[in-house]
Amino acid sequence: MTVDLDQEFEAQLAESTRLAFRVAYGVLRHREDAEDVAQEALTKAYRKRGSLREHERFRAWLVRITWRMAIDHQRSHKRRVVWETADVANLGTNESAVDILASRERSASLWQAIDALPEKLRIVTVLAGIQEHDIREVALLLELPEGTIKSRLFLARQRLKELLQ
Amino acid sequence: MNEDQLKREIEQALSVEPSPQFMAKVRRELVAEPRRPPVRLPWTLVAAGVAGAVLILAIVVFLPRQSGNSIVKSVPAIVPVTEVPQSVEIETVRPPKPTVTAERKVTPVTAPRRSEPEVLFDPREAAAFRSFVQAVQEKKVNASRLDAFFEAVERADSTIEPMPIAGTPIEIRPLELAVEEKQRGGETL
Repeated sequence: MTVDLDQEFEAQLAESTRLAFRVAYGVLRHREDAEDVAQEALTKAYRKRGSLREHERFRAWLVRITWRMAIDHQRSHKRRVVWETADVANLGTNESAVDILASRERSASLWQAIDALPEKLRIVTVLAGIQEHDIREVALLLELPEGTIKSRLFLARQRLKELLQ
Repeated sequence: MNEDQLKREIEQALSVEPSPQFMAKVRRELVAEPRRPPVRLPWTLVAAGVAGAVLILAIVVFLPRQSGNSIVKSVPAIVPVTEVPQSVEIETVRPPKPTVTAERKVTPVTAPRRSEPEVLFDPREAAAFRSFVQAVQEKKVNASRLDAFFEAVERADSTIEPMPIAGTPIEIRPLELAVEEKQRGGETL
């Protein structure tokens, strides 16, 4: 398939598609919904590509817009939310049904706890939970000082521990 | 659950990959987007444009006022004027009567404009001033002593006595007498 997107956006798209999807998934926990939201956010970004040339700013903008759209999507589709459990896909074939059930239960309670966090702590938790992100990366994405991210992440983990106990 | 376990749990929960068709779907969607060139105005250009507009506006607003209040810097030459300029009558344009068929062109007479205000001096004053300047130039009058002279004048009584009117007083006769005299004169003629 020949695609004639402009080269600069093409490069940004390759690495941003996954980021947008994961941010959306962090809110929705539903693959198809997350894909829809991510696609919508990327389309918006494509329209605004003229004013979003800077690489870091583009990613930060994309994270913010995807997060907001995912929250809106979650609110408007609250009744039909069916959460997926990611760890099901990661379990080996020799895992027993009990293990699968236990894993699902653990995951559900974890997400419940994450959802109970205030939004500021929730977004930091999700972005830091995306495997390749360290404190610096999260700070860049949220355009906040690293110290702020550290303290928010610490607070978020404390709350999660309390909630999960 | 300790911190590392929690971190691992969250990472595991988020380690979900989009479907293999997702990337292709996104690209298809973006290609289908109407092709519009990205509009990007450099902020410096925008700032320069705004500054230019403000400058033009300022010139338009302030320039007429300034020219109205401008002070004539060049001192007008002292020109003795013997005749008072005649007053210029400006013809007023009346609306044409509806019955008149032939149109008449009315050229309004406008007073000629002068760039400098006209200063009227009595020729005698001008002559006196000129002779004074000439006397100073020829050193007939010591200019350095003028200050002392003016100070002395100031110190002296500042009230100036009115000058006596030179000339014979006019005699005005009563009207009746004047008429009688005229009649008598007419008879003699």
